Amino acid sequence: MKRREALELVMIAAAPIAAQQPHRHAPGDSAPATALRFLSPEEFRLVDRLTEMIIPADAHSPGAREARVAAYIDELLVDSGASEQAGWRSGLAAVESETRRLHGKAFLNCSSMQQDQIMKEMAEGEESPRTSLHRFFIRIKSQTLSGYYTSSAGLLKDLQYKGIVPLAAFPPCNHPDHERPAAKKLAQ
Amino acid sequence: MITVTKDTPTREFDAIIIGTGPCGGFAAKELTGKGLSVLVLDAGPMPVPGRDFARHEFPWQQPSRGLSFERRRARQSSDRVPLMWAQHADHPYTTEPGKPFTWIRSRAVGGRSLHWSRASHRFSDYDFKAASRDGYGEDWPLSYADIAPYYDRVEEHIGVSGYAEGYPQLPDGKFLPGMPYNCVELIMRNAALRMGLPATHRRLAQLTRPHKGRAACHYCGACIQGCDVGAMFNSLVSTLPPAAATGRMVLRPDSIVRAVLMADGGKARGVSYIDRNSKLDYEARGKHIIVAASTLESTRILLNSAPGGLGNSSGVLGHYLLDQISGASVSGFLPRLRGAAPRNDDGKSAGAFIANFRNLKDKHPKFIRGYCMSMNGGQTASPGFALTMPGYGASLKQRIRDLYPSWARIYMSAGEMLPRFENRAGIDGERKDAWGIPVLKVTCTHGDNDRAIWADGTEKMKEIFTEAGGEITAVGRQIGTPGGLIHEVGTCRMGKDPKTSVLDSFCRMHDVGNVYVFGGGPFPTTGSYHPTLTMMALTVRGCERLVREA
Repeated sequence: MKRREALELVMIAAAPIAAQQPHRHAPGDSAPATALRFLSPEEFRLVDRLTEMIIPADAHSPGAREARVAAYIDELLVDSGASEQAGWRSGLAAVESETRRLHGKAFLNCSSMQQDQIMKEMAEGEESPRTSLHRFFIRIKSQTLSGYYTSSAGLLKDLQYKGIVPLAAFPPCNHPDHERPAAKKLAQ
Repeated sequence: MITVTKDTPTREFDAIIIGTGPCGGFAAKELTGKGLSVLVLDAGPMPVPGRDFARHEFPWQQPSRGLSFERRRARQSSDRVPLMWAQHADHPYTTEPGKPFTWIRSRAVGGRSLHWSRASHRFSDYDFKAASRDGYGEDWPLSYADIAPYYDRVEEHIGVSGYAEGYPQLPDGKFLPGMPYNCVELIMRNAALRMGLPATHRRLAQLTRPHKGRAACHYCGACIQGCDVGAMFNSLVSTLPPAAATGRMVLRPDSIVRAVLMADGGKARGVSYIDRNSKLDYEARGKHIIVAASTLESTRILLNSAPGGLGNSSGVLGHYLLDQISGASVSGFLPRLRGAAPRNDDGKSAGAFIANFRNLKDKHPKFIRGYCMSMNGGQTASPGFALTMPGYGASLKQRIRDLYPSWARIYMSAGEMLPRFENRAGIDGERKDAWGIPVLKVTCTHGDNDRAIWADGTEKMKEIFTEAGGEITAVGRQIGTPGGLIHEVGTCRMGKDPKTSVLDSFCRMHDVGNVYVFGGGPFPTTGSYHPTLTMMALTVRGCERLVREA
């Protein structure tokens, strides 16, 4: 069986299970479901934590961890170009080195507050990135959102997407005010 | 039931048809229906819908999540349905530095009918006779009255859903019932109507009720990954089955045509082709040759068929390459839909539509010709807007969830690009594809009028979005790369004068009377609407002419 077919079966098999599970992961419980292909185990745990900080679990729905965003990123990176791969390697290293500079220990050994301090620093250059940390934030955030909202946790549980099901008829808009030409004024 | 052959027939057919996309498929149906024998060759394999289409799959059920938002944009192919989106590495083409051209192809029986967006809009004389009104370029060698009966026949066969509106620049057709609007589409359409713009629902070759043995659409929404019930028009469900039923069609997949072969006396006698898998060369014989391999592949075959190109006494073969203007878009949110209850807004893959309104009666001071626009949004499977939201954490997640039902977009679905001689496709001279066939070198750039249309569309779309009460968060920054809209046409244009055109109004070669070219190649202009319906109508009209002579 080709890798792609095998992977597809794994993903199909895994999806309903992931969808049924309540979010009961302990903070350290982030072992990948399948063998890593690009990220080192240390890098994987860091990516797992950072992505969960970008899209955390809340009372409404699971977060990036339960959506297995880190595993998605690992798979994505295998097929990415050398510069994208290098950008992730150096970006993750930059996160660790900044954390050591500020807090004297590895990111995952920091308190939530310390971790958030680093994340704030990464995110503050989102509009106009100036440092390697800023650039890495854009990179990891973009793939976190892509990975999360293409997962069952993100699309079905969080956004409550209703499509991709056979219907007898397309459900039309049935809000009378959407038809009324003056509705624009009412909405303001 | 469509059967295929691996044999290499040596008998002479009434016609050889190269390609099985919308036009090749229609040619097979029309010609066999009139008693002609046809050999149909396609460069790709025969798809198995259960294996090759991605049906009702959520992104997480597909490799690489069906390609994440960003990668999907960056690639010219799909990992999930590779037959329907040909891999660039096997099918290269070249461009000049700094002049990119995107060429998206399919290699499968059915061609791009398998994944087209199904928009089926008629051109009018505003399109066919534009040159007479504004003095630029050439008119088409036919008028709306000439082609209208063939639009009727195509629509009656494929099934087009839509609303009759009476807009003269967007002639009504033989419609199945139109599809309902979702909330975003309705709000946007009403805003456009308040501004006096010609808005309606996009007309779609997608069935709203059972039609000619095909099932009605069930609104699963994954149309471009292959429709498993046949509600969306493609050659496999609509044109090839009746052709096969006549017993007069021999369909040979995996047959890559190199060249049209000439006989003494200025007529074509057949084609040479190479088996995709064995890489062995064969010849086939036909009384008529129909080249319907897609706009650029057809031209490539003709250019590879003779020194200087077959049927090229005019010198325009390969020239006047066009793709409609894209890249203008405005998106954001409709505040009145923020936090709305979950609804199924997806399933049609198409929404509201605004016909061209420019340069019909008044003349715009900055540009000639015009454009059409599409509007959609709501709770879709691809919340790509999330990538534009700043910040991180619980507040970001909450904001995305809250805005999700209210996301809306309006975009230029087709702007008319002006034909210019220097935009062209020629043989590269050095590079060959995986089968040793010389590849195309494509040169295509936009002109000032094209950019002016893009800019005007952008401004108009901001007005419409604002009229709808929307908050704009993103505006398309640049005109789309030529070819990217997959509306490439031209390079084998039709015309009245054999000195300035390759084909006559029946898509028959001026120089070689038994060769027809169907597809986008014959278009002298892009028109302001999606091209496929017009390509199919030209095919039916050309086939009728061929049968009269056969």
